[in-house]
Amino acid sequence: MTDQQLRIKMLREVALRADGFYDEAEKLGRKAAQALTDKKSSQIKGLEGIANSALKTSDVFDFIKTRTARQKEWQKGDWGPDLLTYLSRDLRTARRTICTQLEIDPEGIDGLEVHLLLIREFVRQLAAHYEYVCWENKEGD
Amino acid sequence: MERKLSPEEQERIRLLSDGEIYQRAIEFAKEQEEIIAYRQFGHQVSGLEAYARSFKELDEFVNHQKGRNWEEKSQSFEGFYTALANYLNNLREDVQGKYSFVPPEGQTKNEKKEQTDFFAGLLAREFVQHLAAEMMWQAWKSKKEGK
Repeated sequence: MTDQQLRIKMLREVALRADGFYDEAEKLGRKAAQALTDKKSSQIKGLEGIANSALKTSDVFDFIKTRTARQKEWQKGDWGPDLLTYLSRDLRTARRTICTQLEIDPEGIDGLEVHLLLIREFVRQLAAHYEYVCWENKEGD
Repeated sequence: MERKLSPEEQERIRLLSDGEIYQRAIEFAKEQEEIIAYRQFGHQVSGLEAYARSFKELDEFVNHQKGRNWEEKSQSFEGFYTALANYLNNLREDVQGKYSFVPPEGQTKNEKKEQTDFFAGLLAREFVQHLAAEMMWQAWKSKKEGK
């Protein structure tokens, strides 16, 4: 299998698994909207930025830890800690499953790439739910 | 030392940082309960982050802090810096041994030292980033739990 073929298979597996994220992404997106409101949308942009540019999963985890420790909006409703748990624990399980299916080492560089793709997809969904809830709240005003 | 990393070296650093070094930083932070409870570690951690640009600077800073005459209320920092100095020493040894970033032969003593410091510096920077985040996280959690 060439690198490109493997990449396509990884993207396909992540896309298939992403359907299963919906409920959790919606729940956390809603909590984030309640805590941050649309006034702090830069926090979600920052999260998307780090998820999309990170070369390591730990860069995303460190970002969430520092934001949660420093900013009360990340603590409200525990959405910061819940996000950290989901990305580091639940998506690690998903990473192992995908790696087993693709017969790649979950602890190797391809396993790391799979985890990063899962994180990006989850954060993308969370951000979409966040935006939607903020819009809903504005409409309701 | 200015040196470009090969794609293979970049991958290895990413994997080490995400795995072993990240886990070690979490364990290290958990061993620093006193410092975390003291909640005045922000300046110390900022110092570490600033000096983590190079291994030499970080090592000098840590050893300086270790040997400092700490006030009684800040005594636990001495233990923190002693543990950190030990970790950095071990990390430097691992760069040559366990991680094999430096070939055992074919270089002068100075070249070998430069290369060891270079890789130890990169890994130490990763450790400090994880440690700083974990200590803030632990401090927030213990405050939340009312410890």
